Amino acid sequence: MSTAASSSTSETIAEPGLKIKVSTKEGEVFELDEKVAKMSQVIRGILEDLGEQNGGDDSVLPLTQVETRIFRKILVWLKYHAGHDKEEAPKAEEDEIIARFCEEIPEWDQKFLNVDQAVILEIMLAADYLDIKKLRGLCCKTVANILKTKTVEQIREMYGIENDFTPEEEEEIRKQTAWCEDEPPRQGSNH
Amino acid sequence: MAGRFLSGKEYKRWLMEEEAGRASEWRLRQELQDQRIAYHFRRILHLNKEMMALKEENRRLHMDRSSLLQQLQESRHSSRNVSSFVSQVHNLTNSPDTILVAILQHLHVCHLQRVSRVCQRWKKLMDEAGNNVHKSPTIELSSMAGLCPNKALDRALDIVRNQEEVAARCLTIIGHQRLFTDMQSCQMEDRPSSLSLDFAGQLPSLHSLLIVKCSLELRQLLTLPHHLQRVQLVDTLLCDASLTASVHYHPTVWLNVRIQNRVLAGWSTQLDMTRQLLLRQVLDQALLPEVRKRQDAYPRLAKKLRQFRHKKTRMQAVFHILKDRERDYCLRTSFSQEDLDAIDLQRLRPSTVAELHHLAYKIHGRPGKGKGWAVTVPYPLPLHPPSH
Repeated sequence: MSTAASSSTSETIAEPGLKIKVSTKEGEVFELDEKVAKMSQVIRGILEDLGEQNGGDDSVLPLTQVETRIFRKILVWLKYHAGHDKEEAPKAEEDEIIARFCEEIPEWDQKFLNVDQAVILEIMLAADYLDIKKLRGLCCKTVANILKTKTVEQIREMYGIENDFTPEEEEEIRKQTAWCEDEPPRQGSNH
Repeated sequence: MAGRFLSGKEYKRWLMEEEAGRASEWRLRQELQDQRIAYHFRRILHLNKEMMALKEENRRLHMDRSSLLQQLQESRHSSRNVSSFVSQVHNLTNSPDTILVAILQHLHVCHLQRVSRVCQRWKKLMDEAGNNVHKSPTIELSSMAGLCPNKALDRALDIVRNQEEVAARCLTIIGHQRLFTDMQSCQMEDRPSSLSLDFAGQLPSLHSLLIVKCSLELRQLLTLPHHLQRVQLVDTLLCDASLTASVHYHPTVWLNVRIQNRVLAGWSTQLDMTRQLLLRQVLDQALLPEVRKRQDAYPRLAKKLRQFRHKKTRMQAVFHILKDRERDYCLRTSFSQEDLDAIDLQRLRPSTVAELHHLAYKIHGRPGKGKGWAVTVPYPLPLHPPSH
C-alpha cells in the first residue's frame, strides 16, 4: 500500500521532495510527499519541531487516532488538493462567512464526500485530529447541508437521538421557534 | 611365551589366536559404532519428527490467525454494511463538542433554532457555542420563503437580540435566490416601501453588516444605524437604491461599502435623486484626500487629476474623466458630435459606472479583493446633485 501511495503521489505532484512516513492506528505505514503531508497542520508542526531532519532516516510519525481505511480516503483528498489547490491567503471574517454560507462545495469534493454519513463523520474526526481545516470544513458543511433539510424529528430518527426534553420544555421551545417552521424543510438533498 | 622361540605349530596357533582376538575386538568396535550410529540415527529421526510436528503446529497456528483476521475483517465489514445506521449513531452522537459546534457554525439563525430542539445536549451546545455564533449571526432569507422580508428579518433579529450575554458585532443577511423584492407571496400591506435595517438601539454593538446575494431595488434602501462602521454588498443588486438622508450619521464614521461585479447590472438610466446619491458616493470615494496620496497606483487617473487640480473642482475633473470614457465609447460606436454634446452625466451607461467603481477600487489599493470593489463612503452624504 505504501508503495502504491507513494507512486501515485509522485504522479500527482510535480516536485518530488522529502518523503514522510506515517503510520496509522493499525500500524500500516504510508510514505507521503512532503507537500501532501504538510497539508496536515499536525504533521507540519511535528516536522517543524523535528527540524525536518527525519526525512532521511526511517522514523515514522504515528497517527494513532486514524484508521487505515479512513487515512486512505484522506490521502486521496490530500493528493488531489495538493496538486490542484493554490496557496490561499488567510481570509477576512466576512470572506469566511461568505465562503461558509454562499460557496458551493466543489464538484470533486462533492463526489469525494458522496459516501455514507458514518464515513463522512469519521473523515471529519480524522481531519480534525490531523488539523486539515479545509477538509473538516467541507465535511461540516456537508453534514450541515443534510441537517438543513431535516425536521427535528427526522434528525432525531436519523441519528438515534432520544428526545430528553420534558413536554413543558419542548412546548416552550417550540413556541419560541415556531416561526422557523413556517416552511417545511426542503427535501431531496444529496443524502 | 616370551624368552623362548616358538615352534612352527605354536607360532601358527599364536597367530590364529591373535587374529581371533583382533577380529573379536574389531567386531566389538564395529558393534559399538553401529550402536552409536543407530543412536544418532534414532535421535535424528526423533528430531525430524519433532520438527515436522512443530512445523505442522506453526502452520495450523498461522492458519488460525489468518482465519481469525479474516473473520475480524468480515465482522467489521458486515457490521458496517449491515448496520451503518448504528455506526453513524455512535459517530454523531458521540462526536466531540468541537465537531458539533463546527457543524452548527454552518447553520444560520433559523436553522440553529430548529436544531436546538433536537435534544438537551444540542441545545446546551447552542447556548454555549451561541456566543460565537450569535456574535456574527447569519440570516438566510431563502429558508424563510413566504415571509415578508421585513418580518423575517425582525423575527430572526429577535433571536439575536434575545442572546442577552451576546452583543452581535457582525450581521450577515443572505438572500440567495430569494430577493428582497421577490415578495409574490406577501400581502400587499406587508410589502415594505423601504427595507428597514435600522438596528439602532436593538443591536448596539453592531459594527459590520454584510449583505449577500440580495436585490435592494427599493426606493429607500437602508436605514442604517449610525454606529455602523462597515457595510459590504456582495452579489447584490442596487437599482434605485439609496441610503436615506434623514438619518444623522455620525460624521466621523466611515462606511466601507464593498460592491461586487453584479452590483450594477440592473442600473437604470432613469433620473432620480437616489441614483445621483449613489453616484456621488462613488465619486467622492475616487477623490478622497488620502486616496489621492496613492495616485501612483493608478497613474492615468493621477495624470488627469493633476491636469485639473488648479482649473476645476475635483468633482468636475472626475466628470471630465467620465466624459472622456463616454466619448471613447461613443466614437467606437460612431455617435455623432451632437450625441457627444448631449451626454448627460446622469445618464451614464452601466458599464461606465461599473468602470468608475473599478477605478475607485484600483485607487483604493486593496490587493486581494479581486472579487469586487471596495468603496469607502464618507458621511454625511452630499445631498445635492453635482454641478456641471
